[in-house]
Amino acid sequence: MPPQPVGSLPVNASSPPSGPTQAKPLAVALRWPKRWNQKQCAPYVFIAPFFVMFVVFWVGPIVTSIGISLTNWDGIQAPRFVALANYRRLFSSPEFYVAVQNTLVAAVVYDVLMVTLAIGVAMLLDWRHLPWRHFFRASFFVPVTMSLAVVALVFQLIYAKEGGLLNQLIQTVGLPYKVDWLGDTRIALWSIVALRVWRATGYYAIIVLAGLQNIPKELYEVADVDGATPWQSFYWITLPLLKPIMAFVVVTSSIWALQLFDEPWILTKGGPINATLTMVIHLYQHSFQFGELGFGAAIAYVLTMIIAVFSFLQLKLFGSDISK
Amino acid sequence: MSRENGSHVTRRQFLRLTAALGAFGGAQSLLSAYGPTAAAQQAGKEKLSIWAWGEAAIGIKDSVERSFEGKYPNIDLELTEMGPWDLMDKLYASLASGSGAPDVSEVVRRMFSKYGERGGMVDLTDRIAKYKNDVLPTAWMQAEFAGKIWGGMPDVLPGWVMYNREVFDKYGIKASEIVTWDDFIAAGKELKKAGISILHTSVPAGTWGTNHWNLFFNSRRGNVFTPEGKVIRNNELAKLMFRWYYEIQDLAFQTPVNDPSTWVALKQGRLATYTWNVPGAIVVKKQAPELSGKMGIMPWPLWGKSAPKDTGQWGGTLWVIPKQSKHQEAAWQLVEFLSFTVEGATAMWKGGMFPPAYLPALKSPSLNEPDPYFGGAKPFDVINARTIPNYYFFDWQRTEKIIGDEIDTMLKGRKAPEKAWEDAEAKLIADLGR
Repeated sequence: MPPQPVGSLPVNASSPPSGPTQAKPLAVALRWPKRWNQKQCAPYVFIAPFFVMFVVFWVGPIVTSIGISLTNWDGIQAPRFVALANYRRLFSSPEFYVAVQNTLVAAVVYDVLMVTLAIGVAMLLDWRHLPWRHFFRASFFVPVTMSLAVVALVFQLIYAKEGGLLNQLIQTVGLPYKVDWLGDTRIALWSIVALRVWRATGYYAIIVLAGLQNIPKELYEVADVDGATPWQSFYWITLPLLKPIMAFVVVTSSIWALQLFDEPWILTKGGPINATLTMVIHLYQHSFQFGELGFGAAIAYVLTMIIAVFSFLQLKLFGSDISK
Repeated sequence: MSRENGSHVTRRQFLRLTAALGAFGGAQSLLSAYGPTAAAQQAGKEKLSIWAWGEAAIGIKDSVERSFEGKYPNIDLELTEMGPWDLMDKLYASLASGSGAPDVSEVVRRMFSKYGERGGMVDLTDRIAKYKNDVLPTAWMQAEFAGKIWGGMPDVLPGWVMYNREVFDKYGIKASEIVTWDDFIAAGKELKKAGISILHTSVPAGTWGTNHWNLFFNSRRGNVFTPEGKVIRNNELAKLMFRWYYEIQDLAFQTPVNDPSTWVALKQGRLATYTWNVPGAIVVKKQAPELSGKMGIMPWPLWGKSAPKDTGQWGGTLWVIPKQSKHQEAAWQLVEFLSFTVEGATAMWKGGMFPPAYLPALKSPSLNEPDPYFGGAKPFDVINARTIPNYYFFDWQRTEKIIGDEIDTMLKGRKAPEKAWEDAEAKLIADLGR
């Protein structure tokens, strides 16, 4: 029997029954409806906190910032609606294109280098003849655990033009060069990418290693019996079976790469002459340093769109095999 | 689920456990959030949160806290220390979000126009106006926007030259004979023959490093802006100073601001001087303690034998009270103590080598003590040998990036110095609308 609305029930439980159906006492009527009983309800109650937080701290700001991007809000004074002026200004700013170019180039180079290295390192760590395997596994993960401030200081000493480790090595082998690793506009971005690759490779190598260990060894044994070379085994067995893991690695590392901020901000502040200016640095400078939160929100939206397109293309590239 | 099996937890037990844990967690959060405040309130004390960085934070911890709490026993200071840029950005974010700002905050004075022109801070004009004649004018005008004063201006950061006395002695250079920049350059050419740089320059200039060029420019009475905040058009002096900065690079040790290799070069005698602002001495002392007693200080060289005895400035700090503060009266007492009392000013000098902008403090004997790090020289003898021309900072975070990028372009040889300044000026006018 479907539940009756509370208002139709007699408040006094001792009231005489009316008609063929007896009225229920109020306490009974206020119980969960049968079709919405405790068992069905409990999971939603348990996951509700996540959704409440998600709406308040994620969806809310995302929606609000659309509105902010259409204003000239400086964070302190009342905002004024400027329609699409921030987006027009953004697309006519040469710095924005420099930031997009730096971000995309750095992301692609970082991804290719890092993924290649991560596969190589993972295969090395998976090699059963490797001595000190556990030690090496831990070692490759160390850069991930180090504080960025420490990493930045160490890399400042490595990259220093005067007396830096790299330049000392160059001079030790007799070359008369003194490279300005962070001050030369042609090199600074690659120095940052190298630092990023160093930091991230260990982390992704562990993920790839987990994928490698899930590949049945019998497949390699069969391939061996069939006379396959190691390269053929890698190409026809390892790579296809690693595809879902690779999709995860590439998509998540690309998102991280497109949000490149910490390393260039600490080491170069986006310089010299915007050589390491990334979209997030551009966003940060305008939002918090120049006090243009409306303009900053517009940059954030464009960045989100770029990340969405990038991720979509990568998932397309990896194809439907991922779900298998 | 079987009730007979003791290893299982019933749904009711699970819910009870969850509720108990939740209640415990909540109680813990409440205690940590309000416990100390409640304790301070029970003791009848008002808790005052302060944000400060580096040298100022050292000054507060080492000297101010004790003397201030002695004077105001009903106020408890709670200091949060962070880097200056981190602090500036967090303060701005907390003003934008409407919560989270401290009761009193230190801000970088040259970056202050962002707040001064937009609000967000308590207007202190009425309270501070009476001190106008007791404060160095250059510090005063950097806190004033549209006739309103937004914070206490405790210090001013003039330029001076810290030099390695051993290097000077070895190559027969007498600091007392270096009066002008021409003398300085002549000494630099001698040192260059031995592979030693006479000065450090901030390269890439980028954002922060611009202020190093600025120190030289200001000492020649240059300005980027008019007092009203307009970009000075056809700024010939700025052009000239771009040229000078370009040419002096030949003698310079070029590294970014605070780059570790600078300290290594200073210790090894490959860099002979550090031409910087006075509180920079604290950084040098920390980074090169082994040079204690071997370093000397001299006044900023002049731009000619008969030129005005001026130095440049790096800016300074301001103590502000965000409008969000719930303890504005107590906050004002701290701002006043830090900015307009002899005890506050001398404490900041001792802690962070901030030369006071409060004139009565300059007569304090504690400011005239010899400094063993600089071979017993008295810093204030050197500081007082120069005056500081006014300098106007507007939209400085953007300004220093625009100028810094052009300095870098010039130093890469991609533009002549004159063209680089013309481009900087055009961009300042276009981007800032000033």
